[in-house]
Amino acid sequence: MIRRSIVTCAWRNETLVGTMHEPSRDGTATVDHIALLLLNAGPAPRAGNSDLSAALADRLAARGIPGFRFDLPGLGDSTGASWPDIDTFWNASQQGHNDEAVITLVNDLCIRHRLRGVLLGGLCAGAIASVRVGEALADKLAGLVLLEPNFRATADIRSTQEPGEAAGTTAPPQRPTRSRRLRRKLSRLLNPNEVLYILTGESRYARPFRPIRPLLERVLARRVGRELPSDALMSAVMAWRRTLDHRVPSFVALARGLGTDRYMERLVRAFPPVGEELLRIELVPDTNHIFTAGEARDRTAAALEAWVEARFARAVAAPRNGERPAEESPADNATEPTLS
Amino acid sequence: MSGASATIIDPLRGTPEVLRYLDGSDGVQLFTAFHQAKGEARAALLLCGPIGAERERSHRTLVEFARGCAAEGVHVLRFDYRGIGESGGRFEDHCLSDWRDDIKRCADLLTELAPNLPLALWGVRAGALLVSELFAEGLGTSAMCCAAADGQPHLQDVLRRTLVADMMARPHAKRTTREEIIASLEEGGMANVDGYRWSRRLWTDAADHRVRVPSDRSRALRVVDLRGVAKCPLPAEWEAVRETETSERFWESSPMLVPRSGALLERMQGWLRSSFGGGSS
Repeated sequence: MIRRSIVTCAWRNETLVGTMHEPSRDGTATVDHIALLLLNAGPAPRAGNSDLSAALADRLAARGIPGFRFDLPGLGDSTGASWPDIDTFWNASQQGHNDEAVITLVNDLCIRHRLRGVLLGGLCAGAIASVRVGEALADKLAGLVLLEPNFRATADIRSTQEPGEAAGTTAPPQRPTRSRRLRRKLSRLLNPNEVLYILTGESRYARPFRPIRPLLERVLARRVGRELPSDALMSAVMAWRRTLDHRVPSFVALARGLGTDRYMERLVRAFPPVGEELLRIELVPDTNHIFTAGEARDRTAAALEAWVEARFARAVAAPRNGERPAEESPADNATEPTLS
Repeated sequence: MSGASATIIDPLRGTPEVLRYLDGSDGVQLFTAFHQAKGEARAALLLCGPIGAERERSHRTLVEFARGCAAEGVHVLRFDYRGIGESGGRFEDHCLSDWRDDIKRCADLLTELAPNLPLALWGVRAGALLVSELFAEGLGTSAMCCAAADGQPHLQDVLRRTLVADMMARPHAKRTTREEIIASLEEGGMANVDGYRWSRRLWTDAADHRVRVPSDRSRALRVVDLRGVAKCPLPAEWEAVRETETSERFWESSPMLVPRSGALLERMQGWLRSSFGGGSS
């Protein structure tokens, strides 16, 4: 049975609370000084939606890889003012409110646990928080673990598309006023992209439009090109791309047919060719955005374990001079990743 | 910092919190968080939360409740049941009877941490059901049960809400009815409910758990129903302890990360003041 212990990390005036899954001594993995670090799945506590994050950490710990799960400020057991609502939290996350805390956390873990690299990730907002700091932490990242990353900018962010500064205070923004919320809803409804989401069934207003879904598929197909979608969260997309340029590999798990898979296809098409050694995309069938339906938990855990085994099993032999091990060097003939 | 326990300070209220794991005889670790009272403590409160996905949705609200009560001079212990959240073990290996034992273990721990102080029990949803049973058996000096229901009706309610949510999220997916799921459980199958695997043991054991009241009517029990939730089943002679609260059902999905539950916290704090003194009521 995997042992757990409490870990904490000081950031500004706050204390971030986490759980460590101690690696099993029976683990067969030969991974050297690499750990998994999962951030909150959106606003859910660090165990994840229906304890998905805990299950992933247990799985890798059984293979000999320590796992850490942390609550960001204002979430779970960590200190900090609680967030008022999901929209406010999500807007702030996209603007980089947690960047500084995540960087502190990774640096702290690497020093305290003498880690050579961290597999950093999470679900949804946790994935975006990880991607945003990818470049700043490239020398400490063994990889990114992105579960249902939502690269769409919120309406508020789309109106500016300016990557936000890390917040200067630990207090989360206040809930928007009623009139602002109403304006937000109206601007959503009138936005051309929202019309597309309505037609694809991804919008909360989508149900009445279901009968014309096939038509939309054709419209969408014509829209999909090699350009980034206009509603992409540019700061996160570009940060992810630069992280890939640094040869930091990504494992991405997406719910099949819910929209993030198509969106990911559009993003990847707009990137220069990325080989599968750098980007592994796993499509999970018959599940929801938070992976609580169907067999998503086991399937994702198995795919992540296989990816880690394939990517890092030989890392133990690599010299610890800060260079990436030989097997992570660019492939001569990079092939585009396939969505499996 | 890492290890068997960790102490953090809530900077907003200045109260320390000790987070630690308890080792069980079955090898499963139990996560606990002890919120030390600000100033001289007047009571010790054990918070018993919901199970399954309701735990993650209500988590931050209960953290706020614990911090709020600690700031009011009450030691608080909250915890995760085995197989859920931060505690070890697998959900499918456990049932309400096991989680009732977890409450007893945590009550023992709280009594050790806060000797000579009256023990109060507070539970919500499945936690409220188990609190009612233990309080009826003599544990604690005062108890408040929020949105309690008998074991199987509670599970049926969770199933109903999960199926509705799933239907909204995946309108084209193949449908399974609540009755089919229950039939499958009774035949020994497993069911994925909100990402948790329900077992036959969970379902059959739930039939043995009913809301109970003490035989001694002088014992300080309060029952709080929340608007929109089925009324807690109570014998007629205990109807006087029933109260109704308009706070949001904070264990359900909500766009609010800490749903409007301030009135419930105030009711809780008022109950603690009236039971154990202190503060201004």
